[in-house]
Amino acid sequence: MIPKIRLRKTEMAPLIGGLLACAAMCPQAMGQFGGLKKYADKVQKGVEASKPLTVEQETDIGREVAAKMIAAFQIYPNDPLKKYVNEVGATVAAQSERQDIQYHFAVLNSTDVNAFSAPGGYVFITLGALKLCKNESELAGVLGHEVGHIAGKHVVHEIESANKKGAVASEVGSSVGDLTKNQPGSALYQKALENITRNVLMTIFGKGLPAKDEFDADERGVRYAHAAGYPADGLEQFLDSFAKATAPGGAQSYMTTTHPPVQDRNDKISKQIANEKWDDADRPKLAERYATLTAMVRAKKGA
Amino acid sequence: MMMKSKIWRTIFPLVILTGMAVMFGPALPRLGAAQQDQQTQDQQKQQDQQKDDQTDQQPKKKGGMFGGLKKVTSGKSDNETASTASGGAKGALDGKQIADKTPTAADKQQVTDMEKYSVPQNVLKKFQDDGHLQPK
Repeated sequence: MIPKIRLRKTEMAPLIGGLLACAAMCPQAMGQFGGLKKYADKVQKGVEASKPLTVEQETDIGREVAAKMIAAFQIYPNDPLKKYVNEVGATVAAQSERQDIQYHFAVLNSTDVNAFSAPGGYVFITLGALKLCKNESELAGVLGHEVGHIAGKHVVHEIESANKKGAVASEVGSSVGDLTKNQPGSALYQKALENITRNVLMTIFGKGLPAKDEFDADERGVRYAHAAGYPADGLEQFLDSFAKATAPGGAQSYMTTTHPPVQDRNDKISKQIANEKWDDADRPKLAERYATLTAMVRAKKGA
Repeated sequence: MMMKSKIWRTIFPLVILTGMAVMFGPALPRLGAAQQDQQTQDQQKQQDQQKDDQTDQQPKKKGGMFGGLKKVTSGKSDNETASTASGGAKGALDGKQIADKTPTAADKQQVTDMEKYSVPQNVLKKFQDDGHLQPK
């Protein structure tokens, strides 16, 4: 039985004070509980974002990146050249330790000297880079480097690393979380893909990948080219030409700010070849075949 | 009975206050921390925004495998815009410009074509044999 309570005025005061204090604190406290819920949501997102990307997700990202690259530069429409680059690319990619994806090669209609790769196996080389190559072994080295980026999952690790560092706060982290928890093809999945693609492109064309990844791609590229039957120094030779073409007073280069210096890269490549004791003197550089099959590149005005 | 009632009158407000203290006391420091976190996050966002703005104003660096798009020839890309062709970036697009591109249906089709294209094994073998390549 609950006794009947009659409070005196003096006893009412603390009670009223307490009720007022409670009224004042409640919204804040509730806000805190709301904050805790938000925090729990973010932690959940972080857990989802920290899961490694599947091959399917990686390919979806690569497809988006490739579409943007094509939208920006356009594919160079030449079937014999496409076939040739794919033949060299496939020969080199067959030596990659990563065979759970398909590698695809295309030529971009740009006079800029460059080559790019996107997650999932997409490799691009520009007309400008094709023009700078002197023979097929150099092309094999360049494509090998790009295949090396994909095999080493460098961009994938960048995305995953961004998640681990800032899954709760970062847009990328949230996007990967959304990628993981939503069905492919859904609006949220597509939105997440767009966010990640944007960040990937900003990395590839902006700050660049970490130097260690560039060195790793060099090491892999040289190894693949050598295993494919080319001289191992194709990439080194190409980088030499590249350095001369972009020397002070020559063409503009951003390499010094975005990538390891060519000299450092070539030093490591030379060391790698020496350590492996590869003697490639009798291996074909295939300069003639290269000149024949890329003649249209040289003939193209401005390329 | 009278005695019990007196005790209740004294204890009841205390029970209420103690209960409130137990319920909400621990939340207060965290509330302060949460507000501080929010402020820190807001400041961080502002700093990031400022950094992004500054980066946008700086000359664009070019990425890709070889660290940047180099104009080896005097020609310009077929896809350069007038502004980029004449600007300091020598006609090369930066990450933001590329990220802002909206691929057309034709662009997406080209990705699909790229995926579908493959060199048949016998053709590849002939290519390697012709070049005296001996893959492992």
